Amino acid sequence: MTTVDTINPEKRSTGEQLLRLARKNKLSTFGLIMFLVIVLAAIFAPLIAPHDPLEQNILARLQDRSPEYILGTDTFGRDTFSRILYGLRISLLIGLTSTVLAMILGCALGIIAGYRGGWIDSVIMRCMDMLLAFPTLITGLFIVAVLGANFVNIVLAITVTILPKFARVARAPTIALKEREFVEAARALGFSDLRIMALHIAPNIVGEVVVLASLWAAYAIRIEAYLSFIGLGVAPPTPTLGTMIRDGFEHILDAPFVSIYPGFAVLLVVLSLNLVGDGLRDAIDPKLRD
Amino acid sequence: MTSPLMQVEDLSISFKINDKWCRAVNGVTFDIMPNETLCIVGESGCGKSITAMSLMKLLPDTARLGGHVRFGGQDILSLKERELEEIRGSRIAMIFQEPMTSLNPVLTVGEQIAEPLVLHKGMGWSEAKKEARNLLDLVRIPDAQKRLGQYPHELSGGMRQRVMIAIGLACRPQILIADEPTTALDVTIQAQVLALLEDIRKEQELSIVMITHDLGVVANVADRVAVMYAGDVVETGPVASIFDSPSHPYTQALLRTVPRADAAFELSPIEGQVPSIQKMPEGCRFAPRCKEETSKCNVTPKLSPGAHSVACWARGDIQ
Amino acid sequence: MASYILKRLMSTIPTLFGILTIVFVMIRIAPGDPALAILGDNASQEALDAFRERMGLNDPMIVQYWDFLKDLASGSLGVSMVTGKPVADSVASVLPFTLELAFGAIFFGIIIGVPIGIISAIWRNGWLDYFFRVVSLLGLSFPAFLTAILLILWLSIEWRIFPVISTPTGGGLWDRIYNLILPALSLGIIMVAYIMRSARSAMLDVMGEDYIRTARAKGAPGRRLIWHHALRNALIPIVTVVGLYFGLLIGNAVLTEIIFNRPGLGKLIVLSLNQRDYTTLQGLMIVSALMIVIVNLLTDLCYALVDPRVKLK
Repeated sequence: MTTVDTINPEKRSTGEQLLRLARKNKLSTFGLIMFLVIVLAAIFAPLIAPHDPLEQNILARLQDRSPEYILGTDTFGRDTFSRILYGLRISLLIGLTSTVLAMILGCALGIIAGYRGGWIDSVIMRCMDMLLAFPTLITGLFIVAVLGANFVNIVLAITVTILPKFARVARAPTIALKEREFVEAARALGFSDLRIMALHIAPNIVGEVVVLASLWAAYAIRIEAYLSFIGLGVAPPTPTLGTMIRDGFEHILDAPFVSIYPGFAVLLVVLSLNLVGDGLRDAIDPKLRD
Repeated sequence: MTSPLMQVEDLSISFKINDKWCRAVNGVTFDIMPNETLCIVGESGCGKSITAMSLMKLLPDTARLGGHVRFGGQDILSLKERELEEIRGSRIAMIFQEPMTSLNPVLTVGEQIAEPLVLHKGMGWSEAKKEARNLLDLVRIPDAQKRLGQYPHELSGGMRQRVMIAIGLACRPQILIADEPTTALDVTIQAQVLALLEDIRKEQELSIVMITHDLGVVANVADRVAVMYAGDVVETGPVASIFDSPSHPYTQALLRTVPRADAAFELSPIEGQVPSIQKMPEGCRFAPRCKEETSKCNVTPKLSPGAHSVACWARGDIQ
Repeated sequence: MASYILKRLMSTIPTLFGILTIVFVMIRIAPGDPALAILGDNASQEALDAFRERMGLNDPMIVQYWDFLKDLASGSLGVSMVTGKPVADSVASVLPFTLELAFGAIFFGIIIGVPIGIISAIWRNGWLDYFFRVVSLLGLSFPAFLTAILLILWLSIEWRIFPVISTPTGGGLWDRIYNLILPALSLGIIMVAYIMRSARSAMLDVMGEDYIRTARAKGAPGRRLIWHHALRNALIPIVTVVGLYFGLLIGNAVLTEIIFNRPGLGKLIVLSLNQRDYTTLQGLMIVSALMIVIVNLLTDLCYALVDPRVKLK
């Protein structure tokens, strides 16, 4: 009976639950598979890539698709497909690292703010409000521009951009959870606040946070692409998708494919993560399901 | 004898639950006479509200309807949406339990009352607003002109239900269906609203179908009563006859749940619960809770003929 | 109303103050010497000293901060390190272009997103609904530059309907609108997707409300139920989404402006990045934060407009 399922979802094993979800939401499963394929392709780029991403071939500049260059070549005759594979490595590495960092830091701040309340709460959330007061891409742009464009600064910029969103999401349920019996009991047993926050509160908000993490990872990857498009990406010659698109843009009239293929690579990563996130959200919050 | 205004014949309503059709209303039959108040009474979950809604075919498409609702030479259940729109709000109107949520929060009271007049009477908005003012007077809302421009959240609960009644009465319908109109209101306001409905019924020569679980309301306003249990009408008759000589074991049990000045019995709740729609018992649906269950009760009993009729095998005079 | 707006603006002052401080500190702790960065390695010592003196870089940090706040209080954003012109002037000269772009995008978002959201809600779980839902998910996954490139390829190069490069200056009003359409549409795609999703779920919620049943019981036809009774109520969450994603829109506008070669805040930001014009950058950050504050305020005013239950206090 349905009532039993909804009341006691934890009665089923996680694997069973995931399988049920997968059957129910084919689009999200498709997204997950797509994402995994992209990740594997990026990891094994050196094995898959038919060409060296930096190898120039002046005789084969701006070529469209051919058996030799499956997604064509750029201004310097470099193989677009190989460059996309290597570009994905940067995109995924920066996007996922900054999402995970933002998730950990943001949740920690959110939980502390919610659990402690009072002035600590005010100070933390006011700071988050300040970060949220900038148009999203602009924050990242500013940080990278001021500190200089390199891997660490880009990760930092993206982390700072999406961190407040995690803090907000973690704070609200913490306030509700800290009044619950098991937290009261833990406090009565003399556990330290740190231990209560880490072992009793954090695991209870992990579901919501993971859903949002998948959606914001999609966003983080897009910010990285935007930054490198503007010229604030990881320094050349390392190929990044944003840089490829910008370089190809000069040839939009005669060889539009140079920009379009890396553009679609960004689209596929972002779309796959959005599909996964949408499915997870429907699963976790049945109210949003249709 | 006057002929009935509306005849409900063998009305059944089913919903699909977990890919199985479940009958929430199990072939009910009753008439609505001109100029009377018919109370449909029963515990919550017995199908009163959906029966009322199907009198103007208001249920969502997911409900499967059977039987007939004859009104003005037509069968409501076989009418198309376009034809229904012409009847709804003009010849049959309905008011609902929650005046709080039943009024649109972003439209003014005046517009909501005027709307049926514009839709059905071909009035312009300004003319309809004038009529709306008269309707507010009719439902005894003071300061009518000011109220017209207000929004529902600016009115009290009782006031909102009066506005609902004004909307229902706007086009002078022949039948007003009132689904638990006083349940959400304070006791003193309840009495006022009931008195208002009763006065208006007499003035306007209209029939009211009142859905309620409150026997006090029934005693106050009803001319006739239909007692429903788990999707069946188990007993129907004039109000005095039902109260004085309840026949069906369920009606008897129901009457024992309310205090009465002349009561010669002790108050007692009805044992057990209304069966869930997915697990209806075979035959008489009250049998599992009935103290007079007989061997025949696994077959559904039919209503006996006559003004006061009952559907129970334990009553000798029925087949 | 006026007092409400004033009160709201006052309440954002602590946040704004914090923002100003962050921006100020960030610029000062930036690695590298702005004088060197702007005048170049070959600049003479006298030139460097003169520059530092003119920009007040020799003063102690706290004095600089005080001057910065004093300037702001008088409505000045300082002068550009590169051109020496007031930053406020250069911002003011490009701001209208970014605003028209953003509002154009919101316009497309609403006129396309709301109807398809409603259609999706009406035929919920029908093929049209699935189609629109997949399309909207695609729409909000599209990177801003890809949308722009594809639109240029199809509408400018293939069909030759719109110009490749958007030149909003010169010409009459119609010319200006004509030049705005393509960039606004390109920026608006993501808005269409967000608005469609929120319109759909808002309509689904509202159509289940009791007052819709009341309207049906009055004999109101389907069209009237949707466009009159339901939509007014569904507008509340739609307004929220528009306000919420305005910041995203301004961020994406940077890319749209670069690709369509339009003047605007985005182009100015990139220009001052490349020139290491920190004072202009500082001014731009403040203006963009101020824009968000104002849009939040406008969102609240919109609530009061659509929902009579909201009182501005």
